[in-house]
Amino acid sequence: MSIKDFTGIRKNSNLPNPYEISLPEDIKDFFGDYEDSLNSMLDDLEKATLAYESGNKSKENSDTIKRLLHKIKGEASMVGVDEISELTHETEFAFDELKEEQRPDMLLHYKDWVCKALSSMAEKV
Amino acid sequence: MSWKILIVDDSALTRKIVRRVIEMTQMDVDEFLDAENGQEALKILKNTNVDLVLSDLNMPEMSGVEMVHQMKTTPDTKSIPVVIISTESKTARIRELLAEGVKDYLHKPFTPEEFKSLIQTVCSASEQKTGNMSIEALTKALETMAFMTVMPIDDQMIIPQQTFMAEIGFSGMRNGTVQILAGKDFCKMLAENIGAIDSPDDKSSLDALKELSNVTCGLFLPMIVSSTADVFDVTVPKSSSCDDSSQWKEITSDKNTCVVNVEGHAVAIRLNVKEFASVEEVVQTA
Repeated sequence: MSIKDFTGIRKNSNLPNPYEISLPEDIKDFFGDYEDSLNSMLDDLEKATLAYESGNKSKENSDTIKRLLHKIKGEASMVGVDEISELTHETEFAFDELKEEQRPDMLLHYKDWVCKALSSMAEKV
Repeated sequence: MSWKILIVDDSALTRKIVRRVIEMTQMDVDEFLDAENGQEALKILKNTNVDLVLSDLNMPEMSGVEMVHQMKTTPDTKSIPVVIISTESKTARIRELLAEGVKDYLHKPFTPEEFKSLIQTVCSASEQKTGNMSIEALTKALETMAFMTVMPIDDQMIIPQQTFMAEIGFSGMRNGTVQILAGKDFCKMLAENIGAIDSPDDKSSLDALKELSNVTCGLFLPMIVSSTADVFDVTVPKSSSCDDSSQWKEITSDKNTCVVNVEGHAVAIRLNVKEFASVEEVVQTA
């Protein structure tokens, strides 16, 4: 388990460097599937976040965001990418804790970090 | 045994990894089936005999919780073992599911070793049957005779220290004994329920257990032998008590013992049956 501190996502402060993400040993066989799945979920998350920012704060849209975060956390955990799993765990908390108007920025910050981490992993595989 | 395993998870990647982990255990799997949510899983279970269901909790359309609930309230699916695979730790929700009859849960991610050990637990639980009798038959009988609620086995169940045991013998085409082992508190409850005794003492508690063993034996005999006419004799129940947990440990380690949870109390039932080789042997013995 990673010992990096990801609580910064809750306070809109600095997060660990995404390019220093460690690559699990056994991920090679699954990396292509993981990358496709994560990219697709991040796209969906961005769409739901932009809709949220534009005023769609319905329970349905909030549930979609929470479900996507939960799924990203589950897959990261299954493939052993602890940093993404932990950051997503903190992001789930942050979504519940923050005020509605603070949520979109936090989610886009999260998405940006995960995209960078994913591209860093793709280079290392 | 060759297994047919249904993996229920909305993540195709997770389903693939779970499958790979199971393959690494070299377990004899006949077929893997996939479902994206509880609704899809129930459709599969309607048409296919599945030996084990591995399910996530949070899924769109129908969650794992709803799926388990529907499975456990449907006669055709209620006895299929379900194991929850989740990133959640042992939360109240998981405890509720275990109480509802879910066999176990695995925290994501899990190793082949963890899965192997889980399968051993699932196997030993499903093999824990007494002779020809199923746990369902036993629990139903206890529920009917003791007027008590039989619940799924869980960690909170009271394992007795001071035990009372009632034993009843039968002979005929087959002979053997049925033993019921329970805690003192359970037997007191039994005396209050069966004997309508306000403040039962040890004697009336033991009598209540003997009465239960008598009726239970009568109820089970048709399942043990081909018909009650094949039973020539049923003995008067005997009883004994033990002040430490040794008797409980000894009996529950026997493969012919099943343990049921009656209103939070563990009750063990052991069946010893000897089948006669021929009718002539029965006649000579009689």
